[in-house]
Amino acid sequence: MADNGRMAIETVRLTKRFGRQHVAVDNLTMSVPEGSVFAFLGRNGAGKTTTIRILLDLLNRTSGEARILGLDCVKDALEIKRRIGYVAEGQKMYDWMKVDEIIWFCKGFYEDWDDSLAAELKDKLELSGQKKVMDMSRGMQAKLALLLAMAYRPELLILDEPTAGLDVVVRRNFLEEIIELIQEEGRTIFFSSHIVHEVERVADWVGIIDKGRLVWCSTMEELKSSVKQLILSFDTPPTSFASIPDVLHIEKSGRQSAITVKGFSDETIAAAKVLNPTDISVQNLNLEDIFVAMVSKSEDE
Amino acid sequence: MNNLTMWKRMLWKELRTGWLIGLYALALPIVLHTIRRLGGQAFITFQPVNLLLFWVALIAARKGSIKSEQGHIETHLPIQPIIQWIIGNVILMIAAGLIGAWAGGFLGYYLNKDVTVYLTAWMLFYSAIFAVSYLFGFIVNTWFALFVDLVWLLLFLAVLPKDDIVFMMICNTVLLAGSLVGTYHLHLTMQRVLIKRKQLVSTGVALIVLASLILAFIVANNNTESSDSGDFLVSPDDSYVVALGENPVTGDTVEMSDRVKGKTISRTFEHRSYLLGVTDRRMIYLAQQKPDSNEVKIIVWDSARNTLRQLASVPTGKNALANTRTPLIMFQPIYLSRGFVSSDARHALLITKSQAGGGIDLWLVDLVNNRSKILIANMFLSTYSVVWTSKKAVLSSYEKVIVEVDLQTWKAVVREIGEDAK
Repeated sequence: MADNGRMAIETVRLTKRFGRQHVAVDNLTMSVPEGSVFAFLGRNGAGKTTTIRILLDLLNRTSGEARILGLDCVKDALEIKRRIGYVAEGQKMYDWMKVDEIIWFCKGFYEDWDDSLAAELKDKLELSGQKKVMDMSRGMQAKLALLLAMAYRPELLILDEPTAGLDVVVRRNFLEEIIELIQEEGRTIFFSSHIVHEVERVADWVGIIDKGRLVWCSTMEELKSSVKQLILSFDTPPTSFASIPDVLHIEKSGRQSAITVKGFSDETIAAAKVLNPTDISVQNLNLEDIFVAMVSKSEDE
Repeated sequence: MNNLTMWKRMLWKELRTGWLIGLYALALPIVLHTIRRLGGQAFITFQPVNLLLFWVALIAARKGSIKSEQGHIETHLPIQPIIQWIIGNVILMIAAGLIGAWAGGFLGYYLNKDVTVYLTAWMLFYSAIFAVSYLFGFIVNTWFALFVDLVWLLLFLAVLPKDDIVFMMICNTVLLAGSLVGTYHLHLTMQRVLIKRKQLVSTGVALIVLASLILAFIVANNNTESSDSGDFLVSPDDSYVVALGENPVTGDTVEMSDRVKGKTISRTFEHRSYLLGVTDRRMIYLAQQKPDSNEVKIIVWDSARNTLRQLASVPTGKNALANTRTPLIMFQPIYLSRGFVSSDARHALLITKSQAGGGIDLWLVDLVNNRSKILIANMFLSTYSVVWTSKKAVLSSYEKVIVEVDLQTWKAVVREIGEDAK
């Protein structure tokens, strides 16, 4: 990641309401550093796609600010579209066009279109130029959408659930290909997903959104070092774990309790010892477990 | 990237996706012409068929358009929204207007060989309707769409049985507007509520409608006489009746039926013919004009000998025997007699479509010496009758006007009839 302190995406108290009752995005303040591979995680309906559509000026925001590459998402929408690549969830294209036709068509809208890169991507992604979009599998269509979003070397690539609907093998290859292709040049990738375990391998920054609210935003490393699981064994299990700070999730099984906490430190261990456990062990969690704990906490609240 | 390239690419896309509507627009007049040639005029001027023709086009037009699908690649392209809007909507509006003009207005005038007058107006009208219905498409919900469809249906049922021509004209406009909005909403409703594979089903519906039209035409055509009655005259001594049967395929046929002997003879004429008069000597006078000719010919068919003779050639200008209309009745042509022959068969009054405006020209023709003169130009009359004397022809009309034609000086005087003179 190119840590130059600049932000590819910034939102400040971004809010989107549908009608009077439903708040899809709620005071979202988030920063995506340039050069990062940022995974924007959330359950279905958490507000990921709404946020992205506001960023791309496909939806009007109710309040707050949103900037991409330092540009205002509404006023500079056209300039933003020139400089970023976007692949929507279930990207629709002109299904009657052939691959070569749609490449030629899209090329007309970008000054920085790179024919050699497009050809290279076409080879790498194993796309046949004479094949019509309607005759391609969803996986191949997703690859084509990726090619079209990358061939003009965008500074930021936004992918909204890019692997949704693809089978496991295609999903895995697809994400790896994206990262390999775009990270070579140190560009920023912002992608949303609800398939968390696949994100872990590729992302270096994570933002977790739940019910429209951002519940976490940090590097992957920070997230993993911050969120841990304490396994406490007791002769007589306590009735409350209130002494332990920042508990995300508690799972009891006989005399053992698994407590997921965020902001883990020596003080957390000390607080656990107050409960007189017979044994304490600390376990690292994978991203999926962390994500579940985070959104479960939100659910409890 | 310059805007020109974007325009070109977008237009290329619209043309490629809109080929169906283009094809339809091109094919429509040919299809209609063919149907008319085969004698299906009544079928294609039937209002529901007219609407279906437009609906098919509208569906075809919608096929290529990408509007509010946020997941579509077109919404992510760095293109000025105004360009996108113009190409995506204005072009469709024009296309819809063109198709509408063909299917609605143009068709009517095409059938009556008067094609240019209201074409632009119809295009604007249909384009406006398309624009309005497109806007409603964003605002409307399913229930409203169904409500509009219901109103359309009720209007339709209310109008169909009426014979009053003015009422029909007013209602036709309302009906047409309601129909377009209604059918468009129905289509939107189908797309939004019922159908997932929109394009496929829309195209399927279009094809089904088209197939139904063809089938309906075949059925209707099989039940239609090949010739319909155009005009008839009775001889002065009431001994025989002359009838003109129009048939665009085989030509107009004049039948002379002897009422005493019960015998009928007929003769077919290649060009469209109009009855002017008959005499006791079985002489039948007709006016004819070839499609590109500047002259109207007055001919006489001697039915006893079955011979034809040209009596006069009148320099009327092209298309002079087309139907005329009065200014008040814009959408409905009025069928008038094209002329009258004096009882001594020396003179004829010929009434032609004016070259100077929307009215009629009144000609006096000397059938013996092949002379003719325009007496009154661009006059507005609807129905009329003529009384011949040895020196005058007196033409009276529905508009309380009489025209006295002096056969010796070749001059005409127009007088208004007072209430007391009625």
